[in-house]
Amino acid sequence: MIELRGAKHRFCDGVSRRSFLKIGGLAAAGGLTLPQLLRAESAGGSAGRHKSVIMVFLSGGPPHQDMFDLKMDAPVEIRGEFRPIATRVPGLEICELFPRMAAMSDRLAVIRSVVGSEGRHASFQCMTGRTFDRQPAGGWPSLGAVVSRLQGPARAGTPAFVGLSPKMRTSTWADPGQAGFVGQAHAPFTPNSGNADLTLQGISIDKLSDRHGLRQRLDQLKRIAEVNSSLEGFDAYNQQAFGILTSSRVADALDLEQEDPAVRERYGRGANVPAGYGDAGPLMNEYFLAARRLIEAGTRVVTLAYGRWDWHGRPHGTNFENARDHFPQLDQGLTALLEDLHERGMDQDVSVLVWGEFGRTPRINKNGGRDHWPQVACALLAGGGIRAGQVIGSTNRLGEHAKDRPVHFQEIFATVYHNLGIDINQATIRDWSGRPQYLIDHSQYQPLRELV
Amino acid sequence: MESKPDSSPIMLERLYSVVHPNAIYGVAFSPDGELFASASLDNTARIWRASDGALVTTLTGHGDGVAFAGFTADGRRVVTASLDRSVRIWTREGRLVANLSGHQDYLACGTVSARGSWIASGGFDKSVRLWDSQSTASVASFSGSDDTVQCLGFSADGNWLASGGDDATIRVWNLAAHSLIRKLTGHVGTVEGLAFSPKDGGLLASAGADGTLRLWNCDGPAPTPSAVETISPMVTLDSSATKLKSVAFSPDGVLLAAGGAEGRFEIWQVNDRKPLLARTVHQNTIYAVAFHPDGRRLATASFDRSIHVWNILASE
Repeated sequence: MIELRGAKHRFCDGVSRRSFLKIGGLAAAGGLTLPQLLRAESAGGSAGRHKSVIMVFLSGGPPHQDMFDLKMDAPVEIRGEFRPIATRVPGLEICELFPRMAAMSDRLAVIRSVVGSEGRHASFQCMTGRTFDRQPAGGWPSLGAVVSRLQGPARAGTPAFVGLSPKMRTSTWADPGQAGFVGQAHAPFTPNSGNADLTLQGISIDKLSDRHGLRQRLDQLKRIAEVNSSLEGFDAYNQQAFGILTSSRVADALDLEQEDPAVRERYGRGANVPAGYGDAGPLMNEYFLAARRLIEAGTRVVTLAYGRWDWHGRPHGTNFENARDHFPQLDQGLTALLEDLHERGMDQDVSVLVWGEFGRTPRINKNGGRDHWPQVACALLAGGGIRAGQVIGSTNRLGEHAKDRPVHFQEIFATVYHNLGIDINQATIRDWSGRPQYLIDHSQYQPLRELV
Repeated sequence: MESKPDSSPIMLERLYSVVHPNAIYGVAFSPDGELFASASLDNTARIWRASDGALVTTLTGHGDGVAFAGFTADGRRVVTASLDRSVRIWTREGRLVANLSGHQDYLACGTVSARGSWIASGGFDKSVRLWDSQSTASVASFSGSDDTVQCLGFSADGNWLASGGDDATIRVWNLAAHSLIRKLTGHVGTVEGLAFSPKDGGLLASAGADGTLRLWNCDGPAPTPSAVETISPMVTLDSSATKLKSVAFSPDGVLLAAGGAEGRFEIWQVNDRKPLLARTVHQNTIYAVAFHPDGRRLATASFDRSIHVWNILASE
């Protein structure tokens, strides 16, 4: 069930009559008639197959050496508590707490040598592929915003970009990816952001029903738009907002009660409370299921923050206690998602990317934790047509740095763009200064040749 | 998870489980046995009905995880110690009575005396503080630990307080004189849990990150006020757990229960140091164990977000 901010309307089965009237009344004021909206929705028809991405952000920096790169030859103060298990991929061993991933490893690509982390405790680099400093005018857009800008919605009434991250005390982890210089029309729809249920880019039902206020806001935004290009496509933005609010597709996708109970059970549930120290996103496996349903409904990019992986140790539990808490749940949720996508014939179209902002220190600290380690990290890719069943890169004996095949964040972005059918060597978007910007630094970084 | 080993003279029967949405660090029964309290990393403590695990109330207000929850000796108050550096006193109904401050860093542990009105707390500031639950006054602060204080335990008569922690040393403090009287050395690594026997005044059990359970005899001639006696363990028991985290005596002092890493749980017979049961009963570290006052039930609290309440049964 979705509740619209303020009015608390049920939105799980279409739109209530009251909401309908509000939106309809406003549509006249804003220049869009309800019949036009409905025609647009009807014309949308079936989304058909579309390329898409689900990005799972492991907030806080997951411990690479305890997940996919165990160092059994390292001294005890580095090695950790877990043992490796064999997988279906010859030579690939992963943590014993990932038995389902091990059994599905032929559908995974494990990257053990992610480099280039700027070391910030934030989702920014995972969402944009870029570093925070020295951004172009308007700021780097996130993957979802870029895809929304270049490819638009796959289906009328469904946003191209959805961020499932809930509101968190650490706002840099809650960031589902910003629009940056591609403009607010391409910002994510964020149904779980707490105080903005079912709003789009700051416009809620309350604001929509306030004709005077909305006119003022529109005028204000248009004035801004005249100065820069941040609101390019403003009409489309309005239409999308109305479309989402008047369509039941998104609400249906987010209403997991409509899902087969057996499928829900396969994903697992989790706790809908802040994880770990209370400042991060919940360890909610239902987000994985919601992501799949959103993709089916026509969304192109879904991002979500999953749990809290910043495991410095006691008194908030050791790295290994937290791993025993998070790993099995990730193992269940992620493999359920991949299996589900496979069974539905979506796995060749949907890229799934799992990673965090950096790795963690090889040496276990006195509180049983591992601290920040931007020198190297790990990532997991699946689906999207990649050649899975392989491990890319390696680290040295102690897991301190990439030994061979260092893989930059932007190479992973390049691979994902490739999977989406976007040519990184051609596509550009103008920033607010009017300068065309490539999606990544394509002179340095290309899609991972091992995977595409 | 509930089964008996072939050769075990006792077995556990799980009565019910309760959960927090985050790791659970503490569990303690009320003296009348009607309730138990839990402490969680979810920033709350909760009061549950011991007969069936029904939630009675949730104590909210701490700004960080709660490391300890326990009842005062008269059973009328609940005491919590939090990572937010505060010790709080609540009614059983959940009304906040007092907020005790003074610690300078995370609290890792707390305890309440079975007699009198003592509360003790310890943590990352390496200090142990003694409080009076009735007056809510700060009574004393014990310094001398070289590292984080991870566990505390009052003797049954309320005369001594033992503290242990990351410096691998147990210190026994005389509460009347506010002085250190004994240092207990032998653990190799953090001392994670402490409990005095409720029946044998000087018998102290400790659980270590070194995977050992040690018994110490703290009786003997009182050292002179200026002297601190250093003693070695009377007995060292090798646990089946790689690391131990918690320990508790049964009310009659006959059994010793210990919990550790990866959900390992053990019960030992104290008089002959015989292991009676060793099982994995949780999916993650057992942070606390507590016997019900009737001695026939016990609770285990784990980082896996659950508390299991067990019947202790004799094997047939």
